[in-house]
Amino acid sequence: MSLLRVRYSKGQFKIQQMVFIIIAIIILFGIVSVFFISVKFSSLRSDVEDLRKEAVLTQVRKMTGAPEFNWIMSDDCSSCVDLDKIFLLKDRNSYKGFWNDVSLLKVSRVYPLYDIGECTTQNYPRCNSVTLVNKGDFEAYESFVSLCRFDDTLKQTKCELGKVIMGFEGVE
Amino acid sequence: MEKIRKKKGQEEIVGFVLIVVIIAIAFVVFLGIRLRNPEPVQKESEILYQFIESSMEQTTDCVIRENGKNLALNELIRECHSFGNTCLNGENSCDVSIASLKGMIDASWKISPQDVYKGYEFKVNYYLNSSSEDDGEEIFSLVKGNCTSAYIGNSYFIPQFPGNIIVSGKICP
Repeated sequence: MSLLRVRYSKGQFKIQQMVFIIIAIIILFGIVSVFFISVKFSSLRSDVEDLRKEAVLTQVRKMTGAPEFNWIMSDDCSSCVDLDKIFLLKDRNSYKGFWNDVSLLKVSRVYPLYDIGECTTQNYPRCNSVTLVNKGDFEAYESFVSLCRFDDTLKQTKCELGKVIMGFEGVE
Repeated sequence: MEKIRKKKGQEEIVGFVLIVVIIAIAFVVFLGIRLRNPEPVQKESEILYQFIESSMEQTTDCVIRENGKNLALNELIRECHSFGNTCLNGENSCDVSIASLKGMIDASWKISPQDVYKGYEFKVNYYLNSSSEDDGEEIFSLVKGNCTSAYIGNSYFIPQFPGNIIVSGKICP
């Protein structure tokens, strides 16, 4: 009777041992999986964020192709916008409310910069920015463009590096 | 009998240790492979492409020929590569190209160890065959800061028969 009990407890011990090892292995693989998944998902989230930003940037850039912006003197310049045309749109009554979907629409010079910020009829073209819409409270996205116009001193087209800045309300 | 039982116990401990060691080795190998996995170091950047494309249209102060026009940066880089002519004001076409591009980079990106971007690397190379994997012929390059880790980058082609001039830019966070 006692011999039987001993054999039974030894078998139980072996099963316990095996169960512990299996549990240890499962926990180990669980930790590894959690680590792996968290690394994978964190990069996925940032990738999605990057893709969304790139899509918005492309949309902002598309704006330069609008007839109100585009530079028609050159066929092969997709990044060129007509600064004279944009400046003329400023404070134009017929364009009030035209860009209702955006909270900010601004074109600024990046290089070279002048001392004066906002363009007016008095300081144009020696100024840095033309603001077409500014409703406040927005998240802004910028896109590099070439600001082109006919320069009277050079008697030719002059292009300078600039940005189109668009602000959208409630973009997360 | 006692000796046999002890030996059996030792064997079990050795087996257990062996399993633990095998699992540990497998874990280390897995981590090693995972970390060595050649993930793309460069992230293609739309904003950088837009920057390079737009900066190539910048009108420079360089006029090469009498009664000629002020060249755009892409035309000046072509001039610098093919002829190396000097501008009418005496400046070298390559020097003006370098100064213009540097001015635009510095005005567009805040780059310093304290800022988000720690460095940049802009290379202007000529490739006879754009599909070839060699570095091409360097026209000029602009480097600032440290660009060893991950970076955002993009490149822009300027056709220059019979090959292409490729302006490639990297900015390192």
